[in-house]
Amino acid sequence: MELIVCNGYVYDPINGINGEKMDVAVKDGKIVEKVDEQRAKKIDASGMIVMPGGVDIHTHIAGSEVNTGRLLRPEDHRKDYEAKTATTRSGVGYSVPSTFVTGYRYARMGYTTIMNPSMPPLEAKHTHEELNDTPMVDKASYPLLGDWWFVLECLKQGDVKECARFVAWMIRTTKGYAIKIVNPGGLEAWGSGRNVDSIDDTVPRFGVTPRDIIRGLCKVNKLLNLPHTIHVHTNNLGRPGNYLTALETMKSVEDLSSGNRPAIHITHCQFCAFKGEDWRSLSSGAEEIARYVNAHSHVTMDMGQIIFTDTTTMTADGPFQYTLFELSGNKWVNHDVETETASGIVPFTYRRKSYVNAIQWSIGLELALLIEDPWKIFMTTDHPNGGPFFCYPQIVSWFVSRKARDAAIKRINKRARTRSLLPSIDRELDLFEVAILTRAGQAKCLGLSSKGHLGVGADADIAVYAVNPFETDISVHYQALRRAFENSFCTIKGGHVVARDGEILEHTEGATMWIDVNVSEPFAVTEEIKKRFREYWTVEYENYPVTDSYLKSAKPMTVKADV
Amino acid sequence: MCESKFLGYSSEHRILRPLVRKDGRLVESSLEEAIQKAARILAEANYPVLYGWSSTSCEATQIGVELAEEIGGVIDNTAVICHGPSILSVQEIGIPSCTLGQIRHRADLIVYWGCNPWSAHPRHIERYTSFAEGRFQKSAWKGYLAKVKGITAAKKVRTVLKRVFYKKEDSASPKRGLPPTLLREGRKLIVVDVRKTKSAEMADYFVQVEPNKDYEVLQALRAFVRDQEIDVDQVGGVPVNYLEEIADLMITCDFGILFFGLGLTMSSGKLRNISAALSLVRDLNVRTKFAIMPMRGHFNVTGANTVFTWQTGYPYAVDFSLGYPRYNPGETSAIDILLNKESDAALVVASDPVANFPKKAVEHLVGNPLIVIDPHMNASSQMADVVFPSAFVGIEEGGTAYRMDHVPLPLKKVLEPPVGVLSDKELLTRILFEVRRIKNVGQEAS
Repeated sequence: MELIVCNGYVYDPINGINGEKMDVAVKDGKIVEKVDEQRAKKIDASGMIVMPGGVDIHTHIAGSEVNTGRLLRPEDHRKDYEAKTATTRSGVGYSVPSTFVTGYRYARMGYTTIMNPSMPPLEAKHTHEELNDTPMVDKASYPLLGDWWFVLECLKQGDVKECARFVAWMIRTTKGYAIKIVNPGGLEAWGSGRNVDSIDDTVPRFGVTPRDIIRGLCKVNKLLNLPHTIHVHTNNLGRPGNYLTALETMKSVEDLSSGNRPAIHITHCQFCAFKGEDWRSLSSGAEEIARYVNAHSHVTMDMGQIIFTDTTTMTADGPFQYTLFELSGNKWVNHDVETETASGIVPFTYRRKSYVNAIQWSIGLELALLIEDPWKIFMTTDHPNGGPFFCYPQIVSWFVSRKARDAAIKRINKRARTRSLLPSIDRELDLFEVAILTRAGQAKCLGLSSKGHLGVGADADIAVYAVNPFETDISVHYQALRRAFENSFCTIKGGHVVARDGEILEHTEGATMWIDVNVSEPFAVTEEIKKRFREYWTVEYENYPVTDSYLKSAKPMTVKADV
Repeated sequence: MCESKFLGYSSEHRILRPLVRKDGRLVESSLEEAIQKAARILAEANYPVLYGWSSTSCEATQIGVELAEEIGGVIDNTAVICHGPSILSVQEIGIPSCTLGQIRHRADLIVYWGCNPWSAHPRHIERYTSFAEGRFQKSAWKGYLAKVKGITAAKKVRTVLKRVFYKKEDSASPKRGLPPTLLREGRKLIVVDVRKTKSAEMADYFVQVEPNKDYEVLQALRAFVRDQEIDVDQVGGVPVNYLEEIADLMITCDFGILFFGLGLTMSSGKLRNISAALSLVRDLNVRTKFAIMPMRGHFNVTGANTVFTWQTGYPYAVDFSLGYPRYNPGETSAIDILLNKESDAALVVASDPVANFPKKAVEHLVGNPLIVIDPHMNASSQMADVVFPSAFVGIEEGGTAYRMDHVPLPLKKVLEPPVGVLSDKELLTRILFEVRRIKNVGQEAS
């Protein structure tokens, strides 16, 4: 099928295109130089913004913890549901939407690629079953590997190569995409009700430190040539004073980066940029973190912006979720996974008038605006932890408009307002930078060469937003931009127009991407290994892998490892 | 388990051909005819109930949800008659839990409340709790097992000798029971039940609760865990001193786990019992590490809940009559719909509600068109209007099932099903296809 998007103002940062009026031609699901204009279906994008389809580097949309979150919150669904139509399945929404609705809502916003960041390897089949039922978008998942016993034992012995072989096997076995590390060491300790306090604290019974784990897996990541860096949720998340831990974490791999390539991705950084002794004296550590990131090239991060609304927090960080339960007194789910990881869920309402929440809100935006290079920071809410993903357009309006920020600041807690750095920041991002923060930067950071841009050969994932950037001053009329981003004029996925003005035109299945790591000598599955399996897990070795039949539409990406 | 009895083609309980009721009798029919009839019933019904799902694969359940959505019916699984109250309580309080391997590796205190795993979950104790050996917890019961085996073997030898030599037993039989010192090592086991079950016999502590008094006992334990005092001698038939001792054990353990069964969910108080149990475990987490887990029954009831939840947001009793999922157990749950005489057709997959539901509900169920998909001829299939034979999931058909701790497991196909017998998934797919065809024709005609 041929398609041509005509006369739009194209923002394609990877190819250096900044608001040029041009056509984008599509053939067989790819961007091409040109198509036969007679035959091709025309989409008139005159006076509109054309961008590559959105990419979300970190959004909890599938898997056991998300599903338990759904089960936990019928009250969340009742207020927000979608009926079946001729093209779409029904479902429920708000902070933990059902799978179909997740796909539709992303497509309506012009998003076409999303990454599910925490997959307990033992329950990977569950994640993939849900990803199969998440339509409209391409997706991938990061297996949680930072507290896996095999990793801890290899790193204790200092055997990085052996560790790399295990990790390669695990990524292939779980059909994963990147190495996810959550509160390294802390989750193993949480299995026995404890935690670690700093990156040099020893993990009980294993004798390694979080620093060893981060550095070890960073080296593994490099040996395996994975397209993304290690994806790190730091220790001490959500505790006052933790910006120091975040800085320590970034510093710990400073020497492991080569060239200008990033070596570490710090995820939902807002939650680990807290300064102060306790909740009363909490303040923003964004300035210190931004200063460090501005001076170093080995770090990328995403915001984890919070939105003032009712949401459901869920992370693999069991001890953090327990703290949140103690603080809020809300219902609490904990789910520890043998040999691998943990997780927790607590519903939470972020309030404007709460000092702590208002400071958190400010920190996220401060990070995005104080970090000078837009290729180093990406827009996320850590959905649903900071807020539901469909609030992204609101965040975009805060990026581009000081006026929008001022309007929001006026309504937050008074004491937080006086402490916030935001009033002192004049920076307003332009649409080129917005395109980097919401798609190009994320795709580049993930190593997705065919996503996040509109160059010839890229996947034909395109978003058209009905706002004219040359006629509308978006810093003043930010609401027009916000509305345009909420429901794209049209979303093109793989060369098909799948959504238009908020209506889903076609229910398409996106592909599940995974990394097929080729190592020169994979670890041999001996009887010894099988025995270890039996001792560590309650599942047989043969039943553990996610077989090909679990992926409805698989898109493996082969990489060759140096080990 | 004997293969010929459960799988044999000639088994009297196995259905091999689709059956359709004609003139009050079930007669064999072609698959096409049965599918057409079933699809017509479902497509024409106003408020059909789709029930069962807990003994089939997740893949079949996915099609089931799609079918329910297509026909605007209600889909419900067997959780409604077993751990439904547990789910309601979890939605109110949350649940601190873990996978079973975590218990094997770490738990040093096991509590079984209102369940009898020795008889109902025979591999549970051996694989995951008291008899299992984990990385940080040794199985102190292996010695006990060897001893029991020794005693049994000796007894057998004696019996044989007696038979052979017709000798009278000369000495008293060796002392039964266990030396308390052996039991005090390693993991400890507490069983709470209304009667002394097999599981209770091997426990270190057995708490015999008066029937329907679990709530009181749980709340008393909560009070002790919160360092409060109780001004009575006994609660629910259990001396307070004994409960205090149990509470101390719970507080001082490193990692405790409470398993609960239908003794708690279906006795007086229902979801309030579970709320109390969940709250107890939540309180215990302030002092130590403690987890809680329901002992699920059907092999894939967790899977049915899981699929329902990711597709609709709700774990059971999902009503599609308004075009979107609605959930209100008590109104949209299968039994309540039947008791209120609201449904006008039903599809039962891998379950036998006629044998298990209240009489009034069954009367309404069989009074309306009923379709059954099951490998066996059971009470429900005998009362049905259309019966489809299906392959055994996990034996004749692959798929996915979820263990009670939410760990997905692949099911393998090891045998070919009898000729002409299709899987649940295949049958449902064909019915759904036919339903869509009928509805499209109807739309075009109007």
